[in-house]
Amino acid sequence: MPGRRVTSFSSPVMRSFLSISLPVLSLLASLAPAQSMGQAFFADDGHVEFLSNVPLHSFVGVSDVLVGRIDLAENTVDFYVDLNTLDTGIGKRDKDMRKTLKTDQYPFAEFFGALQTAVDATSTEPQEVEVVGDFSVHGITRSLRIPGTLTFSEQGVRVQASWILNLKDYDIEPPRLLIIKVDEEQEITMDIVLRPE
Amino acid sequence: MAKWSRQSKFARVCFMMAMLTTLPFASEAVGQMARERAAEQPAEEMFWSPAVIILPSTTSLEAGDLDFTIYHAFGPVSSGFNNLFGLDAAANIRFGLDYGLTDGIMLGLGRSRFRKVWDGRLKARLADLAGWQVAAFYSAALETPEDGRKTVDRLSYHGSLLVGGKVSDRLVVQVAPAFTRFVFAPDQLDPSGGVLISQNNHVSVGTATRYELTSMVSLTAEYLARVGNTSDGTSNVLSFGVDVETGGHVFQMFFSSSQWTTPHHAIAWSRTPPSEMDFGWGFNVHRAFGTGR
Repeated sequence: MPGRRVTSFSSPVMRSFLSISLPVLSLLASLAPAQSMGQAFFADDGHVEFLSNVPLHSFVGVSDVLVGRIDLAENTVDFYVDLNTLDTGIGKRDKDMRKTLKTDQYPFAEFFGALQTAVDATSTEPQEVEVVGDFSVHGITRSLRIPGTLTFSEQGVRVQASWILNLKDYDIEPPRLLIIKVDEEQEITMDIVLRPE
Repeated sequence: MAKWSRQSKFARVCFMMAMLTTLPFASEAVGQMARERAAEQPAEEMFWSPAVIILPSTTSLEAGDLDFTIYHAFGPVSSGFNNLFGLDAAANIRFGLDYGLTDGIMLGLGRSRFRKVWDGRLKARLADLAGWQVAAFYSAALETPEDGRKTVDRLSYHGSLLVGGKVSDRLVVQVAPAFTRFVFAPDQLDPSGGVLISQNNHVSVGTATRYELTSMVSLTAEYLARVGNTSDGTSNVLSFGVDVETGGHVFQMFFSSSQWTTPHHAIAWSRTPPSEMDFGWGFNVHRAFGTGR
């Protein structure tokens, strides 16, 4: 190939290119997380509740300090709640519940997983999604697939989800009201508006 | 040539520094958030109800909670089968209703059968530190039998400091120094015709404990020891029992050397020394209600 100019890595031109481009690339690399931060959402004031059924009676436990974070760039979905913040409306029942859940030993109910559905962060329509990950409570972790809804807005993204938790799956002895046992199946509902980080 | 080497080294250093600066962001993005406990945590429950047996406990109702109690203290078990071990004897019964004003302050009102006593009570948690709680308890009682006494002479007061803490995961102890005053404490005649001198003022130290057998069952005991001058013919009080907790109820089943239901009267007027081992049995049922908090 006569006449073709070949540039080797040891040539002065290449060295010059590398010495200028590497710092620039480095700078861009350091900026990359900032770009992904724009696709991450966080809040620590979410609402979560469980519905317990007993024959002829039911009660709801709520917490408004659900902590959540979704990172679209990394595709992580991370939620947890301090179980000591659950309020059933009767302090004595709250104490019983904390004992049942052994919150001294296992203070959190938590989920960590990933979105299984592609989402469009530019759409403000509710989007049905599914997440798969590990849910832990009472020291037991199980893999879960949870359906939910994401709604993007100027404020961030609203996350709504609901699923049935079976107490036996997490080695939780259903508490009793006198001799009547609370239903093993608890309906869990969460609603949180995550704001851009 | 040396110039190019220096530039290459500079570039490599820049690249490494930039990579290092990205690491914290990168690890946060792929990892879980650090779990942090909520800022506000509930007070630990030393005893399962606001009363050990007769003694108040450091446990307080949470804001908005109502605690309805039905307390029965039967006669001595030694009365035998013919009296169904004390059930045929006149039982002292107290109905009580307590309310949590805040998470640390509660008010209560009760009415007992013996001497038709109405008692009002106030308990306030003063401190909650490292597994130990301090509370102040105050109660005023009014006896209401139609016996011609002036109202002021029917009054009695009881104040105590409650200090309780967890010795281990299962064992709780409590100490309660107290002062009790009966405005009018008439001397009594004993069966042999002698006069029993009564005291208006009483200093006592109550001690109590709870041992948790399971998440639903605890053993409890309390001892009311008078200090200093005591009324003739009266004695200290020993009570012990089992607490069973189940979904908003606490059932307390106990044996006690006193049938009195208020600490005032138990300290001042109990007449069966624990050493005689002549206990009566009783029970106290607590039922908690919420008021829409």
